[in-house]
Amino acid sequence: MEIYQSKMSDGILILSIAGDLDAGSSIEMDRVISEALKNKHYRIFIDCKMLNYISSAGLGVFISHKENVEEKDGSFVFYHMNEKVYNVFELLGLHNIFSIVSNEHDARKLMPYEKN
Amino acid sequence: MKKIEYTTSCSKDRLAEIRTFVAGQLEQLHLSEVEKNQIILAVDEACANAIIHGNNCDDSKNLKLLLEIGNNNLKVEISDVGNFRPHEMNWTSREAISDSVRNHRRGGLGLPLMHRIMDKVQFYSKDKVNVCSLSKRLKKD
Repeated sequence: MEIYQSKMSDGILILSIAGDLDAGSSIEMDRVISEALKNKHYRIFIDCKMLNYISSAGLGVFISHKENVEEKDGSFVFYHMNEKVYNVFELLGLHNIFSIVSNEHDARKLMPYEKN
Repeated sequence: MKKIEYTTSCSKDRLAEIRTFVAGQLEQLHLSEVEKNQIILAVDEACANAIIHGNNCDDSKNLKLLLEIGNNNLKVEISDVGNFRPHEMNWTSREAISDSVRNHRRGGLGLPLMHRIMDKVQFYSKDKVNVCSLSKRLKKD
């Protein structure tokens, strides 16, 4: 798995995940998100275009940081999710507690403005 | 009934090759990509539990998979000699998620997923070998 980071001028951090997010690679995903939060990035887009597979360990990373991000008026917004990955979110009902949209344009409509 | 065995070591690095092996065996069943991914996921979760919780990622230990593919059903047995004993599965996936969010926990979702995907999930021990048995009835075309 590879994680590509893009810091946008409006403060949004885009994490593009490529490959399989499983019990092994979830440790790196957790490290990247923990580092982002440490650097006060709470508005995080997760671009899933190149994400081929996710297991419960991968889901667990986002669940475990969800409250921390939302406490700071941020959130995770997922987009470009393929059918297989979306189905894994659906199996646990996570499609109801995370924001999942089609593309970056729709993600920007959802993301709250950064507080000064 | 076709039976296929696969043995690997108890390392998280082996999970990807286990998924590739299972995907290859499922090809003959002509399942949709989503159905195939669900079965691969259930097996991956069972293997990850055995590797991480049962054997502390000790790659000197073996993990054995036995796939039985019938006309209408699929059974996968994952065997190891570790010490993973899952808690009684009486939580719904919603309760498991609520607990994970409330306690900022990353784990605890593998078993609910396995139960959501497979028709039957059983754990038992025989002659010091732990077995996780996953069964699913397959839809006919």
